[in-house]
Amino acid sequence: MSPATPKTTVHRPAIRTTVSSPELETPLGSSGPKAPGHTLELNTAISARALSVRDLSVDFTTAQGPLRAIDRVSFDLAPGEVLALVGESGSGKSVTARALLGLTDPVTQSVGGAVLLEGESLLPLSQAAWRSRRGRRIALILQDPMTCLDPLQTVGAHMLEALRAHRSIGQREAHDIAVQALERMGIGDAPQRLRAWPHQLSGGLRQRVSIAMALLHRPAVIVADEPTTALDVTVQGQILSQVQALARDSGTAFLWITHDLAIVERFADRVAVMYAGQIVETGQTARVFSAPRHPYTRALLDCVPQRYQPGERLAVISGLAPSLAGMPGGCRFRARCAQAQVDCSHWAPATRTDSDGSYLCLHPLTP
Amino acid sequence: MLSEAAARLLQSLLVLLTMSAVVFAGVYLIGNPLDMLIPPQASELERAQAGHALGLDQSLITQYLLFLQHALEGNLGRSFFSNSPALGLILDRLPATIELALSAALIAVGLGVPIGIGCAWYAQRFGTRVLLGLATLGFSVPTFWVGLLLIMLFSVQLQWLPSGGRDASGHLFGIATSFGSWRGLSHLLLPAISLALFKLALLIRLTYAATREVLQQDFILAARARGVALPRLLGVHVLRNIGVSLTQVIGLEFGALVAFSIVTESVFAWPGMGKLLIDAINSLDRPVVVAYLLVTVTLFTAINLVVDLIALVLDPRLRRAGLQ
Ligand SMILES: Nc1ncnc2c1ncn2[C@@H]1O[C@H](COP(=O)(O)OP(=O)(O)OP(=O)(O)O)[C@@H](O)[C@H]1O
Ligand code: SF4
Ligand SMILES: [Mg+2]
Repeated sequence: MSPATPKTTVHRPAIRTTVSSPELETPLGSSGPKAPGHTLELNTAISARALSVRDLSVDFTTAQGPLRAIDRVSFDLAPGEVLALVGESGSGKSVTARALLGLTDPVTQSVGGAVLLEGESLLPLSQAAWRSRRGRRIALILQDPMTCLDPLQTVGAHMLEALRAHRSIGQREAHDIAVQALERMGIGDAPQRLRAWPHQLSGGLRQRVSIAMALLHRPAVIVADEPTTALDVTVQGQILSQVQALARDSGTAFLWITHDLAIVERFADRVAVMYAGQIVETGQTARVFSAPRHPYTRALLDCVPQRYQPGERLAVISGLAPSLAGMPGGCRFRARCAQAQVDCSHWAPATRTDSDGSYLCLHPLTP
Repeated sequence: MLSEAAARLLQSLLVLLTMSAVVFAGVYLIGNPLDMLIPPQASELERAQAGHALGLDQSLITQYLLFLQHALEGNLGRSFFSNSPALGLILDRLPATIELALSAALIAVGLGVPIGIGCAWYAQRFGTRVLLGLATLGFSVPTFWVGLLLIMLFSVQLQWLPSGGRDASGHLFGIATSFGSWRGLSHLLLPAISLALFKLALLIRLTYAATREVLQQDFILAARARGVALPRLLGVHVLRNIGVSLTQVIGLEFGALVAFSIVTESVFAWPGMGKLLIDAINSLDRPVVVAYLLVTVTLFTAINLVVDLIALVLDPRLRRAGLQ
């Protein structure tokens, strides 16, 4: 069934490029003819990346059987790059973030695909080996500053712990490093702050502490799961520009998960749009914002209030995203897509990649 | 922090004062002690003289203040039967009871808390379900039955451990106690285990539930993302966060162990306070009952004070004044 089939058929020119680039399309270890030289080239290409994610899938084990929350997600992060991951609630952004750090529950969740951190494959690592990467080479910042610090530990205890998790270090040296880290994040009176309890700090300060901790070991990648959503706009802006400067200086790459497209436009180098567990479009921020190719991206952009004249009616994306248990065959966005055609319910689109990024749609929009 | 602690101390003293009044009213004003002390055929004059000698002709307030004054001097009257000081009788038995309660608490906390935390971390595993099932079973088995079972197995069948009595011939830090010798410990082991079993089951379930809740929190995920290793995650973050509610329960349960260990004391012929109290109640030996009540109330108040102080140390949010 295809209730959303539009009355008019969009005449569509030939897809610009259908050649899949080895950097984004080829799942590692996948079958298919490959010259040895090609593989080598692929590996060097990938090890130059801070993070490469290939066909990452996460399945939840439930009483009704396995549910796929993340479906073959692939993207790359270059050193110093900020990649924004956007998508509506429940599309799988947080699950992706956790899977990247190996923080999924091994009993109820199974993870497939490949995650390469600075060229090293993470998924086959033992728990101990993975722990030694977490916080040192890849860090995570969470959304709610009120809950992401242990209320019964001082700021100093948190930072000492974060340092000692990866190196043996004396109290004095740790103290100095912690003070510097806080000052880098624009926290004044740092020695005093180290003695403070989390409940004595404002939300903005707490989030700065969390970010300072994420930066402690100069990781290659920081995954930030809506880190400024709970903060007011001024604090948000300050923190964002500080983080941006730090990323530039230290070469740390950011995967920045957010709902806020205004932030994305100002702040991200590239965007990945997620829908129902899949990445439906990637590309340079400017290109995605000016000429989105996936109908869902288009719809998301149409929902941004800043893009409207005063008094003009806001667009909404009608309908709901499919539930994990009731995932339709064909394209997952079909029921809500203004561009949908008959074939959309029969063919699951495959990711197409070209120099402008990638998209997952049978009938992409053309500018 | 210090002023908070002082406030708690003052509170405790007020509670003690109130409780002394309740105990006084309960035991001294309900019924006439003379009925117990004086033969029924005595004359009115003799009764009046005896009443005067005991101060019973004074006003209620005066009597209470006298009682309070004596109590502060450590004099809670003499047993009607043995004529020895009531407080002395209680204090003679107190070490045995405390010893037993302390061992039971050590077993229950030492095993229950780690098992509870482990069960919460490995929540979905098969072994966890088995352990939690056993803990639930532990609730439904009566203590005396467990005691008898233990005696049958370890004393009668295997003959490894004595079936009853206490041996305090050994010394630890100059105090005569069961902890002072192997013989003492062997006498202590069975009653302590049988008393601990119910509390162990309780602590496993409580620790499990509390830990599950803490593990859901963002700061646990954040700590793991920083590479904090499991022993530190569970031993520092989880333990301290469940610590406040856990010490509260442990404190209450320890008080209960001291006050209500009578069944176990009977089964194992353990010379504790419980046995003394039952005898005193049966013979209407009021001074002993009063002494018992006051000692128990003092103990409960002290435990509560300690629990409150531990909470202050563990949770900075409870310290209002001071820091800022
Ligand atoms: N423990 C779980 N068991 C089953 N399904 C789960 C579990 N955790 C998450 N999910 C499902 O996985 C999907 C993705 O959730 P996720 O939290 O990643 O969304 P999100 O994109 O981060 O949303 P939000 O913007 O609201 O944070 C959702 O459909 C959610 O219902
Ligand atoms: S394939 Fe593209 S056009 Fe077809 S329903 Fe999906 S998003 Fe719409
Ligand atoms: Mg989320």
